[in-house]
Amino acid sequence: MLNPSQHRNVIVSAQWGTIIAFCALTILPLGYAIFRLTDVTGMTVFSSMEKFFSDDDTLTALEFTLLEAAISTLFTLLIGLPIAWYLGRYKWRNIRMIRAILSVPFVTPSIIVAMGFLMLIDPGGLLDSIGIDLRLETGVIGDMARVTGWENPGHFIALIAAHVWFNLSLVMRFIEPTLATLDRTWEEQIRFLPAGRNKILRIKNLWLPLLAPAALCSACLCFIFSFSSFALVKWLTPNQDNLETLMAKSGGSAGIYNYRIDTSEVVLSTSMVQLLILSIAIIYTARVQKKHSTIHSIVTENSHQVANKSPNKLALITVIGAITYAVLPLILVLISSIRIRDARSNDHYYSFEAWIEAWNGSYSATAIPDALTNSLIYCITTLIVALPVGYIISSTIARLEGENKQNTARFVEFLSMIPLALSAVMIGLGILIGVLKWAPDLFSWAILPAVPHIIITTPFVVRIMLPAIRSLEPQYHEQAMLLGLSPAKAWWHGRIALLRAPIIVSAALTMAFSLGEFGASWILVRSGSWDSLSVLVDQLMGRPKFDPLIQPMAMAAAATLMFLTFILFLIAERFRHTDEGSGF
Amino acid sequence: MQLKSIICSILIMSFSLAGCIGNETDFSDECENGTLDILTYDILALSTEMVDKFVTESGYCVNFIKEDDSGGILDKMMLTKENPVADLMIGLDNTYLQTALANNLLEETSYTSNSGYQNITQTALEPYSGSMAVPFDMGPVCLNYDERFVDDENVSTPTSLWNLTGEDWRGKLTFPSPITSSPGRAFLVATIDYFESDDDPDTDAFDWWKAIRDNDAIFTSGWTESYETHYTGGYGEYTDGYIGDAHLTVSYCQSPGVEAFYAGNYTHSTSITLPKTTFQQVEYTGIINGAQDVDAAEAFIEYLLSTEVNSNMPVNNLMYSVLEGQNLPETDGYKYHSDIPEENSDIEISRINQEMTSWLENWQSATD
Amino acid sequence: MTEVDTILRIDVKQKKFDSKTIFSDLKLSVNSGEIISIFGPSGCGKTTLLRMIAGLEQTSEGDVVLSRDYQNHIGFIFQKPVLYPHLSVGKNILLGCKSRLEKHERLATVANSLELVNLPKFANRKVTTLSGGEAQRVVLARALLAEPKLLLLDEPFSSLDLDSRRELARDVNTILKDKNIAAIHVSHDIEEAEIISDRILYWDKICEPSNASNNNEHD
Repeated sequence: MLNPSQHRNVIVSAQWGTIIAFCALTILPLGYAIFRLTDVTGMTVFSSMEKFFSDDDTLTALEFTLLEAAISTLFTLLIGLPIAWYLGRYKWRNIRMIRAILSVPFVTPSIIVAMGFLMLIDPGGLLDSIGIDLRLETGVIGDMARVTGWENPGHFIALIAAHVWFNLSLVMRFIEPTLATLDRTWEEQIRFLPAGRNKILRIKNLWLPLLAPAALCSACLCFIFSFSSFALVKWLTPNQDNLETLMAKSGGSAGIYNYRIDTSEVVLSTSMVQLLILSIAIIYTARVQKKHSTIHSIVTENSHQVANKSPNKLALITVIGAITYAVLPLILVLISSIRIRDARSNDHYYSFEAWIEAWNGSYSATAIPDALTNSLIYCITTLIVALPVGYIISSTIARLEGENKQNTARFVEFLSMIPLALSAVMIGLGILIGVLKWAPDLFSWAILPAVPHIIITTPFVVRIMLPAIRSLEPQYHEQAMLLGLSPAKAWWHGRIALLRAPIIVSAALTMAFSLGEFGASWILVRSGSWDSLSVLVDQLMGRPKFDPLIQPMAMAAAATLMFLTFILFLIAERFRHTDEGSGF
Repeated sequence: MQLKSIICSILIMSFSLAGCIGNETDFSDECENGTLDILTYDILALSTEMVDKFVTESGYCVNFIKEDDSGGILDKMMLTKENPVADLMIGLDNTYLQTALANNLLEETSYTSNSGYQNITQTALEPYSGSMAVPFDMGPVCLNYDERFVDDENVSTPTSLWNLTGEDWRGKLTFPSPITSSPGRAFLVATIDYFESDDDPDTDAFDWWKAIRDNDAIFTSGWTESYETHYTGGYGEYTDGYIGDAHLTVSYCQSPGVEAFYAGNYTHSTSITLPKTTFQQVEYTGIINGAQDVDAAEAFIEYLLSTEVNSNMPVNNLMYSVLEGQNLPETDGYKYHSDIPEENSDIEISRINQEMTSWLENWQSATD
Repeated sequence: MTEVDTILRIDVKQKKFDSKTIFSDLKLSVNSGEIISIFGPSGCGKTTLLRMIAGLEQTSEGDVVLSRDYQNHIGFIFQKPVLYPHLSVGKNILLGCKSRLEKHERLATVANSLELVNLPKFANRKVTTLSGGEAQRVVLARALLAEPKLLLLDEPFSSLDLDSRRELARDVNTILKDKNIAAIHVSHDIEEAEIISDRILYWDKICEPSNASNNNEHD
């Protein structure tokens, strides 16, 4: 039987062991990929970055990346803030369902978002029918291009619209909970004070301090996700590359000695620049999220008020508009899976032929049930590893903060978020060449594709669990110990049982992200029996479509993935509380 | 809440169990001889029925490792040279094969001693007839253009590649990059030969490519993007993501025939078959050096070259069969609308291997 | 230390948080069955003292010596009632039960505990539906079920109204006396201290308070 001090030592050792293992899992593939690429190219990391900034192609890609990320972030905030405001300030029936629907975009696999938006902007599609031709850029868009000299403005607008769609829920999930739980007397009080005499002063002295950290936090994350966007850029702006698509084009032949050295140079230099930029963004995000959590805790601790006003017309229009925007691309994917072109007449008819074909599969295209099973295996494996690892990392950070070791805590937090700064292509490449080098037998290991999923999803678990663990009152655990409960029971009742909601939300998001993971899987999953649903969608879309069934088959696979993700997410929403301040 | 949870759980379980009731493509009971791993691109030629038949007859199960295209196959073979991940490769073409041979990525196959090998046409054997790889399909790479555009806009049918650098075609051409696309690479080789064979000693292929770039041509990373997203002459206009800003692209001389075949004998796409503007692409299968199951690979090569399978190349893989006495089907205008090249480019495979790297560099400089 | 009478002897030279001294030269002893109250202003370090006795904190310099019979028999009632929201009232109480019980025994135990604190028929209630006073009674019931020999009460009634505080204080005194449980009660309400305890100790009499300890964290 261990005494408390020994018990603590065991816990601390286990925590550090887990962190080291996670870092090894994350950094080793990256490290090996960098080592291999520097060896193949003969460049150092720094000289590769120098080359990056002297090459027109890479500079153009960087400019495009920064521009699309910045503008996506700006518009996401501009559109998301009013929606969050109205959601938080009024009483809505079925608020949980509304929140769930508005949050679905965030967990929708990016390949599905790309397909949905393609359908939205297609010639003859919905937007085209109201005179907005974003794809062929005729009409108003064409005029804009001519007048401004801007190349492909329609594609750029489509990309921004897709990013906004994707990231809108970030703004809402960070801001709306604070608004929804804010005590109305805070607003009433400030009206009687000089600092709140008019709307501008109230914005300055009440709303900005309360909401700015949340807005900033969501903006940072929006920037990070838009910056590293892959599927959307690949499909919506085919004439332009961001850093991620630039790397993806070269990824297949990178890291090979004396062969296509140029691709290795591109991947090395681009990934290092991306890592640098995103690391800065992540460090800043972590700081801002902590501030947001603090404010949110204060608000929820002191609030008793629940919104009781019915929404006015403007609120209704805004929220209904948001819901329509959220579901429209997904509905189009579904319709597209049963809408089949008759090659002879070029008319369309509705049928489940493509579903049947996709369900049965072939040697060229994995059957949907098989791909679905693979996806589920990966996501369950990811869950089994990422959830406890993420919890342990979060506990460690909270413990270090409690012991006043702020710098160490920040360092561990940064380490946990490194995967967000990494290109999925680099992660996949690193694992691939690492495995081939050291453990070639692992290449045929069925669970291998889950490894990048674990790397990519663990940071999200940390981002969700950490604020919740920070807000846990230690008395619950202390009381349990003082009641004489065993350490395991004290841990269960005093910690885990109280973290039920963030655990479920983490689990659902982990599974959703794993199901939709595309970039790293695309590099790794090249063995027929491993295809996940998201890779299957891209494979089918990449096939020559002489046969009119091919595209609906891709949409059938996409719709399957969509349903599964939506179900998982609905379950998570049932348990989500708005008072942990994680934003997720 | 409880009811909702139960419903959700049932839904999730039924999704999970769906895998058990889906179409099973792994005949594990029949894999008494093991599993054959094949590295290929998305191969349409092998229908499920054909592969199932192979599995049943040979006792080998088949597992496909899929890459995007020919170049992807070579990349994977180079990357996994020390630890091959497959036994057999299907899909390297004659612009990539020599690189594979030079890097010892393949080993000898006994099929070249098989009687079936004698049934392969001379056209298919011309680029390479050694024992390290066996051709299994072929097709001439051509420029395709949209006849509607030519007719509607009163544009002259090109009689020289230089016509494409004129105002009529400004911004209306799309080419897949030869760096990442095998048809693109094949066409690049054709342009080398074309301009070496023309009457003008002062210009070469790269001057032409530069002029093409200056004429606002669209360069893509692959055939699919060029043909489907940009080209107006094909099925692309019916697919999502279509832009339709180009009326000429690189494809195969039989592509118009394929269009007609699927559309009931109608197409508005046709090919430019000027001498030396086309390149006979031959695709190969070969045993990967270090393969674990050579017997299985040999069995599959034999199967792939059997009349039963190979004769279906035009319908399943949209390419010509390599066997004597085989041709494109006449159904729905497939053969009728497929164009025959006047004279293919005839640069030797060894020269392709030697100079491809510098050609690609020059191409990149010309089109940057 | 006399095993019969003095169960706890505290001699803390110094208690610091970070580099700030919270209090110093604290001397205190408690006898068997005795209920003492420590009375002092908010933020002086009373809670910290209780946490040190419970082993949740360490001294910076000095000793807290508890009779061996009393170690592992300490109960603690926090200022805010610590009830586990995922468990019912009855199940919260059973957390204090040291032995495995059959179902009928569990039901009886819970019923008796609730009877003791004047909350019959509360066993199946959700803890989130309890008032402040009811919650603290449940906490008390649970603490008593664990059969403590020394009960530490950290301003247990501070969130209640005056009448409820008095009533609970009387009940607590009665129960502790009945069961001969020693207790240390900290409060800044002198009347409550007078009701509940045998002896009141004034903070500035038992230690050297620090000027830096005007901080609610420590109390």
